[in-house]
Amino acid sequence: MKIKTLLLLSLALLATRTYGQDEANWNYTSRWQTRPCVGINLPITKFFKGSITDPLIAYSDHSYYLQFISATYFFSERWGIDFNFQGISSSEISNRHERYSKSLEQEYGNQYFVNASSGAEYETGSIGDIQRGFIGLIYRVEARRWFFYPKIGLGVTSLDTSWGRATLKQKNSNTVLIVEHSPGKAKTASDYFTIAPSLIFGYKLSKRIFIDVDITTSWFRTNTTYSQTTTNAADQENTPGPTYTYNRDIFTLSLATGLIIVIK
Amino acid sequence: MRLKKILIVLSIPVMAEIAIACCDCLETISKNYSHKSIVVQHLDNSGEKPEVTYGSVPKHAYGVRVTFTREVVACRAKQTPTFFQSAYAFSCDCPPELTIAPKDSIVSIHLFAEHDFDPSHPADSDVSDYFKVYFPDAFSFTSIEDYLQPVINYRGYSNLVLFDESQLEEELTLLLMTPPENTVNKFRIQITLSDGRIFEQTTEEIDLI
Repeated sequence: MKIKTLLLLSLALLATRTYGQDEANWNYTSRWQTRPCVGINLPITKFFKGSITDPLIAYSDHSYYLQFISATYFFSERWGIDFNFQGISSSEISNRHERYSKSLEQEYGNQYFVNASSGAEYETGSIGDIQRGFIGLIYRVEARRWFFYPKIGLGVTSLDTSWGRATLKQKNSNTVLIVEHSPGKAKTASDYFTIAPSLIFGYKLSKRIFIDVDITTSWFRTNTTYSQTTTNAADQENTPGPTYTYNRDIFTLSLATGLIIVIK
Repeated sequence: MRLKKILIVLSIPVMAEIAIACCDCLETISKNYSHKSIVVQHLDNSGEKPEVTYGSVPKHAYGVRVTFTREVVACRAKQTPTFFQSAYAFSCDCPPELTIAPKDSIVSIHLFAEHDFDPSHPADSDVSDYFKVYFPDAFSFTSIEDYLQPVINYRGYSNLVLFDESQLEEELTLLLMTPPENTVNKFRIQITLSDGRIFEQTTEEIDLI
C-alpha cells in the first residue's frame, strides 16, 4: 500500500515538473474533474440514545467512507455542478446483530434464556452499510497552486432498518415469550433527504492532479419508529410493548482527503 | 409397412423420455412402519431445554416425554410405469430415495392424573387440556389435537412419512401449562392408534414443588 502511495506521489511530482513551466495556465482551465477520496464521519448530534432497537438500524455515529463515484463539471469559469456517491462503513454496523443479542441479554437475561435473530444477520452492504449520494453546486477559487472549492450538495442518505426477534424461555418455567421489534415498513431501506455544505481545498501537484481536503457538514432528519410486540408462544396472545421513536436531526462532520483528477 | 408404423408409434414415448430425461435418479424404496411401544419419562424444563428427570420438578416447569418406538414392517412393491421412469427431468427434482409410510397412526393422546390434580380434577381425571405439545428446537407449542392432524408438505408428502430409518424413534414433549395444586403427582398416558391398539403407561410419582 505504501509503495503504491509513494509511486503515485512520485508520478504526481514528475507531472508537476513537466507542467511546471506553464503554471499560470492551470487556473480555471479544467472542465471535467473526478474526486475520489476517503474520509471519516464524526457526530455533531448523535443518532442513538441507548434503546434496545438501536442495533437494528444500520447506522453508526462514527464511521468511515469511500467516495468512489464523483464527477464535477464546470460550466463556467467559476461555477460547476458536482455529483458524488459514497459508501459508508463501520465495525459497529457490521456487528449489529451481536449488539442486538447483547442488548436483549442485558434486558431479559436475568429471567429468561434469550435466543435472538434479526435481519441484520443476513444483510451485508456490498457498497458500504450506508450509501449517500449528492448533487450540488460548486464554486471555485484558484490561485497559482492553491484552490478553494465551496460547495452545497443536496442528496439522499440511505440506510437499512432491520426486524428483530427473540425467543425468551423463562427460567424455572414452561413459559416462552416471543419479542418482536418491527420498523413497521415493508421496505427495509430508508432514504432521508440530506443537505451537505462543504469546503474543498488543496494543492495542485500538477495541471491534472490535485491533492485535496474535504470538510463537509451534513444534516438529515430521521423518521423511524420501532414497535415491540410480545407474544406468548403457548396461547399466541399478543401484548403490545413500548415504541422506540427516532425522529432526530442528525448533524455530521465529515473529514476526507483524496485526489482531484482533471479529466478535461 | 404397417408393422413399421406401429413400431414408430410405440417408440414415440421412449424417444420422448430420452428427450426430457436428464436426471439419474435412484429408484425410491418404499417401506411401512408401525408403532410398537411407548416409554414415558418426567421432564424438567427449568433450563433452556427440557431434560429427563426423577424426584422433584418445579411445578411451573414440568413436562412428560413420550418416546415412540416404531419398526419397519413391510417393504412395498415397486410400481414401475410401462414406458416412463419414476423420475422425470424438467426440474431434476428426484423423489426421495426412501419413504417409510405409516401403517398405523396416532388418533388420540390422553393424559390422566392418577392423584387429585386440583379441586375440579380428582384422581383419574383427564387433564390433557392442561398439556401442550412443545418443540424445543423451535420454542413453539401446539395443542395435542393440532399435533395429531397430518400436514402435507410442498412435495405432497404427509408429515407422518419418514425418509430415514433414524426417524423411527420419535420423542414427543408434552409440557404442563397449568400447574397442579397438589405436590405429589402421577400421570397415565393413553395413546390410541388407528388400528385400534391402545398404548398406556403410567409415570413414576413425582413431586411438583
